[in-house]
Amino acid sequence: MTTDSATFPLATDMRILSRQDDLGGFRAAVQDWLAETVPSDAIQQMIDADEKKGVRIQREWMAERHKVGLGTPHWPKDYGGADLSLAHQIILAEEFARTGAPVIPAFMISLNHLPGTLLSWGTEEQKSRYLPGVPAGDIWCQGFSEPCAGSDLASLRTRADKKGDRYVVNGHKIWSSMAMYAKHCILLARTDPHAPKHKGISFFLMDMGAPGVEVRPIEQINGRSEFAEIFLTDVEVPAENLVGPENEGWKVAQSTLASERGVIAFEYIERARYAVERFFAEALQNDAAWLKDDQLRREFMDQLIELQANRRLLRRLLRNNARKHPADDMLPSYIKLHGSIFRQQYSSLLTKLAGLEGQRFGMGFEEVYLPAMFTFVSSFSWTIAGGSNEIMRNVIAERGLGMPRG
Amino acid sequence: MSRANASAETGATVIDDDDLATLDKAISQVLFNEAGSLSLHQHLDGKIRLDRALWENAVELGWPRIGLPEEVGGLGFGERGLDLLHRQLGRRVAPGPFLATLSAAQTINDAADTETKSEWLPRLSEGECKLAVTTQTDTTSESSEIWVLGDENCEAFLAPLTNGDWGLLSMPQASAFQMWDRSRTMTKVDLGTSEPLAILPGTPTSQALARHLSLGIASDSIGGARAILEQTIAYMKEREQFDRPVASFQALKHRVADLMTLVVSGEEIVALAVQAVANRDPDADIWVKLGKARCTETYVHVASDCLQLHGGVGFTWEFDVHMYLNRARLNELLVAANTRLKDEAANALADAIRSGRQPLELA
Repeated sequence: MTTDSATFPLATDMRILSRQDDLGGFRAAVQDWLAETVPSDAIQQMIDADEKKGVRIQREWMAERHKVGLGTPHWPKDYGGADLSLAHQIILAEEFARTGAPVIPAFMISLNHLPGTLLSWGTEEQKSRYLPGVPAGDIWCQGFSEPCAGSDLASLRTRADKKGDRYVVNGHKIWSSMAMYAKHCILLARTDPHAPKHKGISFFLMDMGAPGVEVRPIEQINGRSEFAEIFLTDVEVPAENLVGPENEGWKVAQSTLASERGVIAFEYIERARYAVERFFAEALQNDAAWLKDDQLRREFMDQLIELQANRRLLRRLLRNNARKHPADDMLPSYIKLHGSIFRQQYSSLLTKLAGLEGQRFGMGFEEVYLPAMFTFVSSFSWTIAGGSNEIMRNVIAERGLGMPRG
Repeated sequence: MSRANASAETGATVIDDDDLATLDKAISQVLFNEAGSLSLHQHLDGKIRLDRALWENAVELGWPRIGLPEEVGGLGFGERGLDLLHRQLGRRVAPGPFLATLSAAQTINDAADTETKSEWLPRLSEGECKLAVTTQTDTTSESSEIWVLGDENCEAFLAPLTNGDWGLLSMPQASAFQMWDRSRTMTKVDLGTSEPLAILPGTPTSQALARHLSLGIASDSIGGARAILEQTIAYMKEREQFDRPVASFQALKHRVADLMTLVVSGEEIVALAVQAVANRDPDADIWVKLGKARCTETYVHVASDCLQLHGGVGFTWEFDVHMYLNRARLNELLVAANTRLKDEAANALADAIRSGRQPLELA
């Protein structure tokens, strides 16, 4: 069944999408559009923005992208996307990074995890009800982790008990990014407390405005509050919001987590490239003292080569993912481990280069690695979130290198 | 095997990936047969001269031709072909005059005048002569006595002369020292007593030799690091203590995962440097210098930890690990101290950025 396309907001300006057939022309059109649209002080705006302002910038940028059909560029055409190939997505990521266009992490779940799940498991009704809201600015959050279910996610305890045509949900979720701004939540809850832990979980779409949903932001070490706790007390979720079969939620969640294929990490590391290049060029211009310090200068060169290695690894991942049968499924774990360590060590070096001046409290924008202490402190979210580096090491050793489980 | 083609537009060599894969497989097979652990140990104990046997084999198979252009009898695989060869030699810690001779040949091809090229390159591509090279490519050495990589079986050695030029000098009949790394031979020679057989221009020669040695060492190091790590993991799966394989202990798994991450990222760094040189990128030497530094540091670190992960048997002569560790230690010291290479790379980066280039752009 095809969806009524009228339910999807459409791009009004076709100057980029009309040039899809020719990659060079597509890139040129993207460059022209970015030159016109991204303000010259975009990076400074993001450094200066507090959280609310940051979310507003993201919403505005999402709306801007949507006008030219780049709100949900990788989605299928039937659901309001442009069905852009990986090669096109790479061009977009490269050009966004080069221009210093705003990043839109608030839409991470909306753009990737939601469609990744619904396109594989959702009913037509779920798809046509929820997907069109994304290019229009709906922020989704993810209710997976719990205080006692982090790395061991399948031990989650939040319960969803079926009562007639609805489920009644009780529990406590944590580490939910942007939950305070989210309209909906993709939720994992236990529907069969007697089944083995992976077998009794179901996957739901939950309205964040429903009675009984309470969001409490987490104050983070970097001064921000991007993550939140969600307390759920007798929250009613209609039965039609179950995704996939009851008690198959763990399997459904695997599609959710596999939905991002490296383009976002690629864009972030390309942004790091420009940040590092700019930092060195400015140091040269200002004749920075650390350039004459043998130890610090060599540490910078050590980080530079790791940056290049990570960029190449991500390019390899994208080439690999473009194939029908991706060959090296361990690559994402190596990239995560190597990339998060690069981020932490490079920003650690930046704190030394910044000196005492850099110890004055101030928040900023991670993707330009400014200011140093903010980026350094923030870097721990990369080594902990999304599978801690310790879990990555287990995965590499056990699944990748065949070392037996202890 | 089909030959590589020179691209009319860029002058860079276009090489078919399938040809490279075929070459890689062939080299790997030969070394698997000829340089197994048993042979390596016989060589280590002075019972056979595996270095000579492998070189003879290599000459027969045309390996000295791999990096050189077709005009002088080469196969035209350039730096990409040599990367495969050195990586495979590194995997087996294979002894022989490969690194010095092949790097000297590429250097002559890049920097020497036509006469010197036509005299030496055809013979080098035929494998008719072996060359030694100075172990340090900076020309500031005050002493006339220098270390060269190679032994009295080499016809000549490539080294800086006192007047700023470089020369191919006849190799004195001094015998080589026994080194900790018995896969390499090294000799001390006095620059004053040797006859120059050919003169090469100073700066281009020192730069080219540093570049080719560094690439060869980086490939050798990352190949060796991967091989000894794989061998160590295999051992850890066999070795049991407390009724379980030691590979099942999480503390050790995490170390191994970190080591493999260094190797996987190091392989990209080698590929970056090789590609930059093969594409004649004006900023290639930044990545060559950083690549040599990173990959040799990784090799020392990986081989050291692999020795530790072997436990007691790692301390025995009869296991392979120490051969990798010794080769890693020597690799680290060749060309120039890694601190110096990082400083040179920093200067090159500064020059590139001041000139308005974008040295971080990836091909």
